[in-house]
Amino acid sequence: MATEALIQAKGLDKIYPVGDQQFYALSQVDFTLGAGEFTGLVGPSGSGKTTLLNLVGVLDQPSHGDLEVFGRSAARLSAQEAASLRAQSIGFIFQSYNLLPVYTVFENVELPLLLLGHPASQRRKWVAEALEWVGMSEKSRERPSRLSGGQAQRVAIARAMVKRPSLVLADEPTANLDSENSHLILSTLAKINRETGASFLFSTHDPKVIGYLRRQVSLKDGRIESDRWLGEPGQTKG
Amino acid sequence: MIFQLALKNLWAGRLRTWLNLLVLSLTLGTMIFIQALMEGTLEQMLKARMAEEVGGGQLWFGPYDPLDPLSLEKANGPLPPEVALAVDRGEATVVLALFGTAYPQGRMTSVVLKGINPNQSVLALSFAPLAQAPPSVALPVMVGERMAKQLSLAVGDRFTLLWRAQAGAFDALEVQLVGLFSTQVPSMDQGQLWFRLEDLQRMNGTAGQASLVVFRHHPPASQGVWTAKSPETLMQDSIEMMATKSAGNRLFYLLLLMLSLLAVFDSQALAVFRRRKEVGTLMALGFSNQKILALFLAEGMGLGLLASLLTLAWGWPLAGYLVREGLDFGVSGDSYGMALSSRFYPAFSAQMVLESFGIVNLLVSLVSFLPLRKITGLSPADAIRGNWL
Repeated sequence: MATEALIQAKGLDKIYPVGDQQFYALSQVDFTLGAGEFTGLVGPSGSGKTTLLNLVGVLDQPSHGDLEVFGRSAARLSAQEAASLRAQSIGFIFQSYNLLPVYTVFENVELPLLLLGHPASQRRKWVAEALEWVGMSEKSRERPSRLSGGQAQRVAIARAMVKRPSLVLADEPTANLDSENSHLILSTLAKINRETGASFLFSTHDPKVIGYLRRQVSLKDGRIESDRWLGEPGQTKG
Repeated sequence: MIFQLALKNLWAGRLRTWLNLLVLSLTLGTMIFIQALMEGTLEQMLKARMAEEVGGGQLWFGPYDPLDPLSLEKANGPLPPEVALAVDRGEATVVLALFGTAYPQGRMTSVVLKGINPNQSVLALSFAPLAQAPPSVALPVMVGERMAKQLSLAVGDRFTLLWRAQAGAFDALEVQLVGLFSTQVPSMDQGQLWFRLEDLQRMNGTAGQASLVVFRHHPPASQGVWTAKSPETLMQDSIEMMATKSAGNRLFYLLLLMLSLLAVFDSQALAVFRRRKEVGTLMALGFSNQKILALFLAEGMGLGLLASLLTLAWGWPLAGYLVREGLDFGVSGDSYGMALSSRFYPAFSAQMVLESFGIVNLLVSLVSFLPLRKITGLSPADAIRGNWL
């Protein structure tokens, strides 16, 4: 097991009202994520992967249960504190990249650092490093509309990593990519995981992603069906 | 950071931004122009009245009331000594006013007879033809161009005049029109016949007496039956009339402003809808709801600010031209009973421009905020899903 728990969840429920009924998107979920993990939430559509990812990323609040993110109770975080936690410690990678179309690649990657108030010289240095990690230095002046899907996702990875977060949440990061680009993205993420020690939590049902995971948490109908290690903790594949 | 990002977003908005800027800038320009035109018209009218009618202020004898012809019968008296001295020094000029009836070409019309020193220089009106009238003309008279047109009179025409002298007896004489004068002030022209002061004093049997005294600068304080009238009091009617017209115009530009704000609201609502996924992304990156709200608001404010700058860019040279050359509407103020020429000169002021900029910027910010209210209570998870609108 990993040594330091970033996320600790016990008895998590997430309920959505559907008409007069209540829909349990998550039910009695116990889950822990340690530092340096490369873990995937795996399951079919509607199994609760993205819901759990949102709760872990303090984008949403559980209906019941205890959730601690970086040692802080998610239920006690104000919206402002949750935003600040995301800004400082959590990176997000989305299925459809979510790059801001009006900014250049450089500006997209720079945005999290601007928000944190880093000085311009540090921003330039860290953005350059992040783009180098993902091999996109040469495209730094391009607009997202001129990038291929694989390139756009690599920029999204740079944007997630540029602030050196302890936790990166990736929601179906390869769903819109072809096989070659999927492997490129996954090997890039595995490399960053090894080099930076940041924890990665994926939501996926893509077998290619599963091949890179060290821990697989399977979800079905909002419950954890299995939780197993696929390799040694701290030893990333790929 | 927020303002920097907002400007970048505005720049990226391209056609949408430009259209909004154009509409706002035209509204701003029109608002300022209408105000400047009203200010300029009032200034022009007051200037004309001060130069040709009111001077720097007046002293009125007892019952003198220019709006009541019947008051004129007893509205003249001897000048106080210090006023007489001011007249001698050329600092003031006296006017005697009587009520009478003229019979031009057999028609009868009520007139006010006014006597003035034809060589005076206090009022910017030339009565030189009265001074230069040959001795063969027994009783020379001048009228303004409007009056001549109204009575179909031409220089050289003779007509009979009937008046009631101070002693109470009616008297009649034949007068001859020796000249016309041009004035922007209808109240110096319409219904008035102008005589040499000593002629009218003789006709009335009141030598050395006057109804009013017009001062070049400030009049002395009221003394005895002579009451001091400041220029502001004398021109109160013009100031009030312009205030009424300004209120009407304000309604017009408020309507214009509302239309352009509607365009901004529309465009902002559309932008929020189009960028709802972006809102989710920003929240995931760590932007608080307040920061996102501030970003959109800053875009609205930036739009107002850029519209102000754009208005300055095209409005400054245009304003300079209009102030210099004026604007000819092809109609004179005569039709409205106003002391105006047909060329209008707008008067711009820094306060007027800053106020308009302030109002527009404030309202644009407010209007930009309205479509964003939902963001304030939006959950980041809903924002990322992008279906919160």
